[in-house]
Amino acid sequence: MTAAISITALSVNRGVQRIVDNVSATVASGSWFGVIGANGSGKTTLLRAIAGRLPIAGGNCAIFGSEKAADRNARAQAIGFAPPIEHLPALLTVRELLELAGDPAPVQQQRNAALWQALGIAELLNVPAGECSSGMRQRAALALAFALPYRIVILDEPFNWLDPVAAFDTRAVLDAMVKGGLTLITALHDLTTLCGFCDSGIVMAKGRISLQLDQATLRAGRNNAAAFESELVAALR
Amino acid sequence: MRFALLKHDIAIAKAALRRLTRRIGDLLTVLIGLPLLAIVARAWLSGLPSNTRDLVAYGVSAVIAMVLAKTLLERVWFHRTEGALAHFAQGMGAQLGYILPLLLAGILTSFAGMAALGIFHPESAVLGACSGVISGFAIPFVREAARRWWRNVAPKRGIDLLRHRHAPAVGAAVSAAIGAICAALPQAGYLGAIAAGVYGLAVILLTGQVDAKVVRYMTLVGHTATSLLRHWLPIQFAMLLPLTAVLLVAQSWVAAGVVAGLAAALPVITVLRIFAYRLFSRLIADWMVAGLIVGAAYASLSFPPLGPAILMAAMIWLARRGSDARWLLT
Repeated sequence: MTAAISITALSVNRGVQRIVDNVSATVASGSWFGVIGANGSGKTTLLRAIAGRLPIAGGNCAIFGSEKAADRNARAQAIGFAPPIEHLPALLTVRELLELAGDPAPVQQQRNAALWQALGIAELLNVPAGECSSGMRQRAALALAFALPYRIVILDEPFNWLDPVAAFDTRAVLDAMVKGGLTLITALHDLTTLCGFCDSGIVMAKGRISLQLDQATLRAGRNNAAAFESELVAALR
Repeated sequence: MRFALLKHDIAIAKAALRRLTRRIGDLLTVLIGLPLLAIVARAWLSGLPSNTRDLVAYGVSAVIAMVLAKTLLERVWFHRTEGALAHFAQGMGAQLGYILPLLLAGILTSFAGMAALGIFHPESAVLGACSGVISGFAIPFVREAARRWWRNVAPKRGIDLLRHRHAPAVGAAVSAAIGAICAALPQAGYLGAIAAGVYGLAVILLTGQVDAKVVRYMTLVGHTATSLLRHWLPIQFAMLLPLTAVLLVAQSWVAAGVVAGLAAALPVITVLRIFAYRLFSRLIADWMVAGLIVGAAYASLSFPPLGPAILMAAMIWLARRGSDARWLLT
């Protein structure tokens, strides 16, 4: 089966500085892939480069088997991505934002009914982003990643700012979407989601992969959380 | 989606306009004040010699085109990396579809404004616009290249020379030395004025950067307006005022005029930006400051003291409104 995303020896620069160096990983289609790492380890830079928001400095990036490392536009068109909440335009309502980013709001509501329900998007539609709390902005940003019917979606720390109920519901909905065929890549900090929901993943440290996490490792982590945490922390150091 | 970026920014502009027009006082000021100023400016400008008006036409269109081109290019870069519509912003077609209509609309509007003021000279205006567009597109690339070069050559430990406690004293000494050199240059050919102008531009590049995020952070953690100004202004004054003084003493009037203009304009623009960043997002603040400067310049053409008065009033208004933003950012 063709992988949804396959990166080989991928490098990404910010200015003259190399942030991600020689990273290789494969994300199976219809799976949840977790990226975990210390602050500043290059998670966000890696995810943004895969999603076409940053150029790739070296290596390969294939989407469903087609090489796209040199084609930033193709990567951005193929992958849904939640924008950083601090850059949502303050004067536009959530409805305006969603409709500018993708399909008309009713179409999105129908397609993403469960996600909208979990995030409470219907109540936010007429609220300008500038009047939203951080949690509300995060909800809008997550909905924006699904504004078009993407087969691959990347979310950078999606559960930040969400209250426990919204985080719980959203996790469940995302899991159901993955079971329905979505390929989801998320940067994470919590081991519960990583072990409980992800099918595979990587641990990043100083711009490189320090540990590959396959399904067996994650399953073992679910059964022995303390040992898994120790192993992970050792890889993060 | 076609022209998604354009639609996105037009929606923001419409929302901003709606917010502005909700305040009837502001709307009346614009509706009554602008035509009045235009009439006075037109009367004043019509008295200028024809070649001076051509020069004004060139300068105005060049500045407007440069600001527009630079802003639009940087906005596209933002859309590509941070924007909510980044998926529509990566293709060259989408970028051109965003930049060209806005650039063209802005330039044509400036031409219409110049025609209303009676200073529109087609050849000068088009030439000015072309040179402005080229330099406006070049500035962000040159700045990025300079930053990269600086990162390569700067000490790795990240010593910020401009924030060093002896920086104002060293800056003042350098400024005075440059003043002495400019004054010693032959007066004929404006060599001293050109050298002083080049130094002034270097000072703008070195000290004119105001990071909106730093301003917002400092406001959040409780810095007052005075404290914010103390962070940015001393080095600007230190690097420009001694030079002005030396040139005045040496009676190099043209060079002194050039530097005095810079020494007045740079801190004023810095103060406006700092105060605007406390209240608004960087995009809105930058457009507001640009609008204020254009408005003040426009008003100065009608009645010279009006421009500084507008800038002073804007500073006071922004400072007073911004004092509420301390500790609490919206």
